[in-house]
Amino acid sequence: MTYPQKNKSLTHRPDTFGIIGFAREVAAIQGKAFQTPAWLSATRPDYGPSTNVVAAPSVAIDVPELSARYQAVVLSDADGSAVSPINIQTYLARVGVRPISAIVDVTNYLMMVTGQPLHAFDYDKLVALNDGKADIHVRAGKPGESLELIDGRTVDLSDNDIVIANGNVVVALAGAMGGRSTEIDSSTKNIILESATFNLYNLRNTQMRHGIFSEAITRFTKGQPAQLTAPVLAAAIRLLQESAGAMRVSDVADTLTDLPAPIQIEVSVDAINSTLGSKFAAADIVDTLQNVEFAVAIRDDGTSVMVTAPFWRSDIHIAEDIIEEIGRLNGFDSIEPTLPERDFTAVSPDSFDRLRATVRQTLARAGANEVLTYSFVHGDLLQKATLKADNSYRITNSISPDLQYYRQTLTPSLLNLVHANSKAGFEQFALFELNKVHAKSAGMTDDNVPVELDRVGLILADRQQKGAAYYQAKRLIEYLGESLGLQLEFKPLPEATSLLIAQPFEYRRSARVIDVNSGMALGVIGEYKKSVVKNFKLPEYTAGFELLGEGLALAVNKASIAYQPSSRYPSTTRDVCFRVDDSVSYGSIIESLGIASIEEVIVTVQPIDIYQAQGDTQKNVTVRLKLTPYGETLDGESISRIIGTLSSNVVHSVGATII
Amino acid sequence: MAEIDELRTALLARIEASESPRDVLRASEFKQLYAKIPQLDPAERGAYGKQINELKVALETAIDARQSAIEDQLVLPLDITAPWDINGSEPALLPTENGSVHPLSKELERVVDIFTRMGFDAHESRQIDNDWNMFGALNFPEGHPARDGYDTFRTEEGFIPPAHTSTMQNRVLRAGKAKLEAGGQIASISYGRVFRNEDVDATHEHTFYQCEGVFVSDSATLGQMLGTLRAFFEEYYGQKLLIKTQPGYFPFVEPGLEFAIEKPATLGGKPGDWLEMLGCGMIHPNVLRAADIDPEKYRGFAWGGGVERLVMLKYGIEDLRHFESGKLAFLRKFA
Repeated sequence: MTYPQKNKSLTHRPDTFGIIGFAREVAAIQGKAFQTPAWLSATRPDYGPSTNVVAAPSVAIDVPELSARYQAVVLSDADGSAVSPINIQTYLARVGVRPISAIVDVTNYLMMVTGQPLHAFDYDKLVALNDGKADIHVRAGKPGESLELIDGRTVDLSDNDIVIANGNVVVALAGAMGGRSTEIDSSTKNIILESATFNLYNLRNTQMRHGIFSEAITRFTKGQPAQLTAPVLAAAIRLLQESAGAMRVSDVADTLTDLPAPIQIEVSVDAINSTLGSKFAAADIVDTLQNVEFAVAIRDDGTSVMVTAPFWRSDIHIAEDIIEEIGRLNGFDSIEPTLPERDFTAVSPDSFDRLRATVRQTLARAGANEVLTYSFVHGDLLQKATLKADNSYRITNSISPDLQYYRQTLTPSLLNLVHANSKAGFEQFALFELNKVHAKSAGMTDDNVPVELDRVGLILADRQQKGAAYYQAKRLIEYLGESLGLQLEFKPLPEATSLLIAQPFEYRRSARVIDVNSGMALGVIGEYKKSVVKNFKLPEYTAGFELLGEGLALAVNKASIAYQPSSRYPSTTRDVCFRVDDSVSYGSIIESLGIASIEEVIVTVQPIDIYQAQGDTQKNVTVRLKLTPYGETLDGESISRIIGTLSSNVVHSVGATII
Repeated sequence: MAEIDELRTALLARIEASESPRDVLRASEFKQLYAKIPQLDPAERGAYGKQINELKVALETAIDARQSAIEDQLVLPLDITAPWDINGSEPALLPTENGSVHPLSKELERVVDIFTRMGFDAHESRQIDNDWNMFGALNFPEGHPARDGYDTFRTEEGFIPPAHTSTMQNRVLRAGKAKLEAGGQIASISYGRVFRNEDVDATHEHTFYQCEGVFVSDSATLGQMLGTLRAFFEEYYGQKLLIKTQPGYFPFVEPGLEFAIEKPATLGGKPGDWLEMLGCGMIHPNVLRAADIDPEKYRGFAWGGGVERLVMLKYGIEDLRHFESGKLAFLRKFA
């Protein structure tokens, strides 16, 4: 059987990181009872004969949180050059561990079989570092301390590392790797054998900081239980005698800071079945749990079970863990799928989602393509779009400078796509994105996380076209406005503004977009600054807009349906041409018509032509006025009167002449 | 050297007045400075050369500024209220057949629609959050190894771009608590973008989309969870489906499972083909407690899965990187 080095479903199960524990799990899944070998379940084992001619090492766990238990014993007359029996060597090779010598192999073998790592120190080398004494301390590393490891590397120690020291001299990086100075070699005669457990959080830190991913540290970072050190130590003493001739010459030093008492959990049969949706009888539950060596008793009335997990199951704490055990070992597939009940109240889709779906569909209909781009951008991208990086949330652990900053607006990401798509052969296109943006200037929410803002961004570009791209973007946005029931107006953009979405735009060829009905500011539309065009290699004919999602939502909320029944009476149209100064805006002409003042007649205006001859300081704006009466048919005189009124309104407001 | 300073003043003034400022760099007075170098003492050449370079840099900066100023003057303002430019005509919308909605958006809408019809409300998840919502409220103890599997990005302030949509769970549970305690249920979907600090290749992305759900009532069961998920996939794939589960470990559920469906006919599935679709499980009591919901009275289940996978399976898309590439060649394949 191949050994599972990575098993995601058992990553929280330290007991399965030893073959015996894994076999136990497999047996249980197959519905078979498992019996742990007696030597492994002996938490107070017989360590075998000892001559006791040497004092047990003195062991102090200086910082109790760092280790729950540390055991050490001295063995003598070991043959450092002995090799393991062939079956041990092949076993080790099959699980990917190189056989080295009998002494080292025993520690590795037992670790693979039980999940409990062991370490052997050369006793003579160890005591030589401390005037012939074995005075073991389990403590935190001190800044400035370093250790040469068995693999040849020297590591600088920190106070997050756990170290084993003899007196003042560091001899091992606990739980991770032993030190070279006390390494077992072919001349080793005397051994100190360590069987212990260490704080998994410190070891995780050690693992990351020093990049040590040994078999030992992998097991310790799952959290091996303190009770396990004893039976494995006893087994090691026996095996070392058999394969290396080592004899026990001291007592076993056993320092404990925490030996948790077994917890008894009561779970009702009903709780199990109503959580899983199953129909297990109390007897089934008992069988399942006893197969994995849980101690189970049924309450007299048969309604619940009292369960005590074996010591190697440090993952069992609460009733839900027992329920999981029952479900997992019997197979969740044995549970019948059902459906919860509900009433017929309709669930409302989120109104903002509905708005966004409409925006997407409308822009797609208008020939634009939706894109999704990354939320993080390169600092250069912000700069090229004239935004300041210090207003962005910055990622500290990014793998690439392309993912440095949270973007503050969508436009730079869209601008970045234009050149590549243009080069790929697409002459005319519009790209849009609906997504969130973040800026430090937007502040924090009530639960102290950054405010998130929603944006709709669009860029259109055309390699062939000449002229003012602004107007095509305007046409698009008015089409969008119509589909949302909004009437838009366009107001000048100031030269300097702190509005983030406005930054890349050229103020003289851009506008603020306002919803007429609510007065809500919706965003910015226009052509880009020359520097931006250059930086992003945009075609001359490029424009776009960026809208505030929140503003859009509020405006749409306030919009009302505009439907006017057709009139019974015929409409008339008249074209009027106003000659005005160059500086007079089209909007001011329309506004000054005063169409709302004509009673019982609906007047609509359609632009026909805007003409300016070369060198002329004035322009001719032709509009088509459509009169639709609701009271009665209009005769020629009324038509003329109305047209006359409207025209003279314009003449007087903006100084136009009629031609 | 005085002559360089004098020349500097003169050339800068010339740039300021010029309509083609770049030409100033070709001025003979400037070029002559270089010609002087061989005439100097070897000991002085270094310092002189350095001064010329400094002058060049100053001139180039001034030229760039002047160039920008010239270009800026060429910007013609336009009438932002007009329907088209002077002497122009009505601009056309782009051809409608070119337009498209992103396949991920479309699929997300479909997934959300099915869950909505099943009785779940749906909200987009956050794209920046804190440690509490990402880990603490979901039963990941501080410093716990389980946190490692998520490869999270972090900001300077310690905020986290969420690595799973489960960051919304605590808020969703809190928001639904009152309704739950008044005899109702919590049934809610969160969907959105998530981030993992991973290298990008054909099957891995640092930015992708997830959809997750929670259901809490006074009588939720694991059997109901299996039934709910099966019902979703049967509606999504339009056929009856067999399901398969395996144990899975996630700190925020207990029991935890991996959920698979038989490969549907529409994807060319044959008997014995399975698709692992999502992780799921019964909500861990600590997660309910973190939302002030009493786990003795209420139980729930939760599930979560990736969205790109659904799209890739549906269309046979071969490379995950297409989704965020912004390439029209890819996007225009969709409607």
